[in-house]
Amino acid sequence: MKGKNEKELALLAKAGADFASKILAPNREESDNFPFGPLFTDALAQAFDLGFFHAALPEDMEGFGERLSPLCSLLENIAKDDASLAAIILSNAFAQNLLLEAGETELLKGIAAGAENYAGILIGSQVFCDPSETPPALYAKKDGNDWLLNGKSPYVVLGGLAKRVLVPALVEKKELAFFLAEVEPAGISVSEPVFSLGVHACPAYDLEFKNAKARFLGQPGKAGEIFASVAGRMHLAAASVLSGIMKGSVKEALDYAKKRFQGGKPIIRWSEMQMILGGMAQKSRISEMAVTEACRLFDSGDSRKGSACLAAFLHCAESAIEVTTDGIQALGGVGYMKDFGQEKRFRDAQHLTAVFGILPKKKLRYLQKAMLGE
Amino acid sequence: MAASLHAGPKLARGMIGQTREVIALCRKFCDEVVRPRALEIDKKLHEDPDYLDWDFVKKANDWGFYTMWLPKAMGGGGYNFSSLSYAMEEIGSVCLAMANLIGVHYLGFGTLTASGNMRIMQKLCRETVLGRKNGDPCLITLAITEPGAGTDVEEVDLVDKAKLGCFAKRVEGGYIVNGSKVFISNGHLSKWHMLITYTDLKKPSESAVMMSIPNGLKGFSFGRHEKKMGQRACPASELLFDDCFVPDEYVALDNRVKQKFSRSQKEMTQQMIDYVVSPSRAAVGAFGTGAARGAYEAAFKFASETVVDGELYVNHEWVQSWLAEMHKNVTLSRLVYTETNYANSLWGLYKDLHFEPMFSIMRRTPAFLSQKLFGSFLGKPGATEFMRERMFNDQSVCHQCRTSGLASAAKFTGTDYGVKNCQMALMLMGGAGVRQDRGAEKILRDAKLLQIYEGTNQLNRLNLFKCLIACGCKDACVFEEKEGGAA
Repeated sequence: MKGKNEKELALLAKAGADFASKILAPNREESDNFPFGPLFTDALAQAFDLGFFHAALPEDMEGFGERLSPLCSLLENIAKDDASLAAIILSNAFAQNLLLEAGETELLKGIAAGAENYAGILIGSQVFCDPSETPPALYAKKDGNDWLLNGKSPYVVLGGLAKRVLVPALVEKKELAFFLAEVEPAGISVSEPVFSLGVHACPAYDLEFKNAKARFLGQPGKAGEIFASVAGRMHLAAASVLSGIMKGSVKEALDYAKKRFQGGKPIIRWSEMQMILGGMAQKSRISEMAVTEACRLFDSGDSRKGSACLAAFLHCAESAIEVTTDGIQALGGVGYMKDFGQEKRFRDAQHLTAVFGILPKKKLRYLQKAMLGE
Repeated sequence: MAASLHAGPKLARGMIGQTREVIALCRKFCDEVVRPRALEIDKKLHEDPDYLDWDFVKKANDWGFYTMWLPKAMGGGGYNFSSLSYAMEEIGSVCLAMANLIGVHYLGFGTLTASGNMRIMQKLCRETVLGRKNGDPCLITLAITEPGAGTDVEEVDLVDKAKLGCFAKRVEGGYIVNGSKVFISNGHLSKWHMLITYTDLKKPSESAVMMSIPNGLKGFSFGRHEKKMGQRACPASELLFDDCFVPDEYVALDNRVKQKFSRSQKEMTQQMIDYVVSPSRAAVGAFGTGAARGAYEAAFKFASETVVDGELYVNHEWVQSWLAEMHKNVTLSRLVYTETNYANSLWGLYKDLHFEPMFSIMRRTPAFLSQKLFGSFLGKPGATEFMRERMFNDQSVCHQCRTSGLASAAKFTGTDYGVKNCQMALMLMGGAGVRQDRGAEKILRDAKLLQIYEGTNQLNRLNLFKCLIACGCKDACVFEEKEGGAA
């Protein structure tokens, strides 16, 4: 999958949208039942075959290179119908970017080339969890030429699904560093999937390490920088997932409002409902515009790209919470039921906003970095 | 003037101690029963959506929660009805589903009370009291929502245009009911169902019938459980009626009764609805307050135990500001449902019962004496006539509006703040908040339903406008918008 022009970008977006509407949406409720039902492995296998998990890789690894537009477009179109797969692609892209940022390009190239299935290409990680914000309870020590990990890493997204995990650990109990470890047979105990608020089919696991062999990534003392750099741009990818969720919520609310009657006419004919729907559509549209503009700035190398990515995320996160809350309300009682997509979008939006880190702190960081230049 | 200013001086002092007693009992119940199992049951219901938590219902029954607020003269505990809201906040702050498993029983009983039918009230109370003694819980539900009509059925100005399907046909000795009701909380767990249906689907506002449907009645059956996002321990059931003959002995209120009063059939239907929803919306406001409080407590605990950027989280100034905002949301929600309870005490379903000397007489009279003195009278037609006269003729339209409008304010204030606090808690807690085993995410899933049932918050805003604002403009009309205001 090589995307070099706008036509290919449109094709990728269409591929994502078609996949989501034809493969994911019909089985959304069943897929979301994980871990109390089966994981959607068939969908993962098809997504692997379509190259969705390669989208964030450099072009020589069959990805779209450094541009963010293709990844964001793919994520947004998938998230309209089911954010779980979008969250998997996003998590994996985050880990892949960490490897690239750490200078482990050859290692990543080997992983991408050698992957025979989705487990082979997926890399588990704690995604947006900033290790410098809350220090890990995982410790690394040198053992000859090897590094051994001991301790715990909670909530590693894809941790029980992927062949490898990328985790932060404290070296000598003080300095942060990232490590890559093979889940089997490296002395890593994987918990049952953690039962969480949303994106159930993008599972997270608590991991416990006992002398697990791991590879040191990057250079000593650079973990904070690596994380900050990757998080900076991946905020935009996260924003695109939230934008997709909002688009799905608006569409389902509009469709329902045309069909559901109250007081003798479709509820869409009542101005109170129109006000709700209008607000949802407005927030969703502005979010889409924010993502598009931030992608443009990022892909063109504009100096404002960092602040644009974070601002887009902050706006999308707050809007997604509001839009999906109203999205249920527009459907009334049925919106709260699992037969419809709205309750899942509500949970997914809340989940993704929270799991990407403490939102108000991101706002403080935005002020510090983008406005005050600190 | 605030209802509290009217009611405060008349309020029986004994209510305060009784309410403290209720809160203390609820806290003990939360520690021993609710908290240890809330997350486990929520998870179990994800594994097995059809699981019914009889164990909890039996425990609540053993603790007396299904009889506490029933009248003493009918064998109940005779606790003041306002204290039910505090109980719902208390239990709801730990688990809204389990609070609902208790609270909905009183929605059913309150509906029956709004019919003024003392004979059936006494019958159902006796069965509930007996159920407590025997360890066999007897719960009551309210069945009104239909597949094609939710908001419509709570408002007479909408119901005549609603897509209704549940129909009662008058026959010799009773009614034959056909159709279905949906989203009936506690349906599968209850023994009696207060059914509101209609004899004329073209004029439901003038043909509402209230019936008490027991389990096992021929032609009545349960349908599916709804698959809800939250409040999973409290089943939302489908009730099915297929040529179900309901004898007159189970009919609580119909047009034959309503014709005896001065108000029109439509006005009486709205009055009956308002008698039900004014206390129940206050209770849902209390649920919302519980959710807001649960979320606040989870966030505060997290902030008190977590170090972020090298400093205790609670010592970050913005965190203090957020916690203060959340605390304010709890306090305001509580104030509004408390004010609504004052209105209900003055003008609503339980008017006069909370004031001296009535309250003290009822409280101090021993249960056996109370039942002996009043029990035989309550089952007689004269008791029902007296009750209905008091309810339907002695409430002014103004008082009905004030109570109903305040109840709507309590409902949407408490539930909006409930959801808001949950969302703030999750933002404040970051990734730690999304794990089910931390509890915060469950409160959010549970709380969202509060904005929908007992009339959506949108309907409640319009009801507040209708009851408290529209009188200020002679040309104002509600639920009659021509073409949605949009260009």
